[in-house]
Amino acid sequence: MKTRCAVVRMRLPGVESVDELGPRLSSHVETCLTCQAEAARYRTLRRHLGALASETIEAPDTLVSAVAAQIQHPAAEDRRGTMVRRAAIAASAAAGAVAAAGAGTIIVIGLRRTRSAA
Amino acid sequence: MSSREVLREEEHELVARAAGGDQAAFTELVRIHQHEVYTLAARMVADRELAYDVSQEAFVRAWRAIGKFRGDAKFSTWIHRITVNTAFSHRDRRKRKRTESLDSVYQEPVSESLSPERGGLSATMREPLAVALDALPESLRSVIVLKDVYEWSHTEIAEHLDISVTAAKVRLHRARKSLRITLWDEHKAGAE
Repeated sequence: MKTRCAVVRMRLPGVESVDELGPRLSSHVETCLTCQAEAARYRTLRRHLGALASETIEAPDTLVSAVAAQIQHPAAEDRRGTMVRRAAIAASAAAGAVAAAGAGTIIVIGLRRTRSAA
Repeated sequence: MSSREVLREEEHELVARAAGGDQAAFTELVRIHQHEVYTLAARMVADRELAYDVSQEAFVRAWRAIGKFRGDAKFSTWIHRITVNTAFSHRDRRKRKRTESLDSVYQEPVSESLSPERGGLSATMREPLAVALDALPESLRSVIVLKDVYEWSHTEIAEHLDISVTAAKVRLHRARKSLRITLWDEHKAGAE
């Protein structure tokens, strides 16, 4: 790769247009197909990122009511939110414990059967 | 008066009422801005559950501070800044939550279930770009989202992220380069 191509490639991510590269590098890009292709990739990337601004990700239905509850009764909602989280974590942990206990029982029964057979 | 001006006038009135302690007026502002705030939060943190928490907390912070809102900027600009600050204050909590691996309804990737209000993204580029963006380290993702999606200046980004302007530029450079490599060298999106 030519030196100028390498410099253009290195500097392109930091500029908004090829003109910002300065007259020497800009005129190089005008005559270099490799650099033009690279500049086009960054243009495409910026264009697609810019288009994301007009896309909306739908907020969950509960967001408005959660905020409304929070501003009406901040302390109570804080406690409730914490309790809900703790309950969810506890339920997850309990499910894990039940699964582990079940697996343990199966292993124990399996071992007893193996021993009695022997 | 255009419909946009009418909406701005109505919003101005809602802000004034909310600043005076009117909870219903503030709830209406939340209803109007919920999707844009949630979208910004989701793009910043790349996690649905955390984006929900960030959005909720941003609105609550806004409610507490609305008395100080002078109306020089648009309400949306103001709430966006609060959302960005809130997203950053959630950084540590996010790391902790990841290790808990708690199943949640909001844990699907941010890149899915977009509203029909889609922009001009080509179908071949949209999904790989969203995935690549989510996969960037948070320090790089936040800068490229604020600069290339929301068109913040380097100075604004530096102020909000508490970094130098040079650091903001360096992060933007790295983020763009990383996305370019991911999209064209690794996945060959072919979106040109």
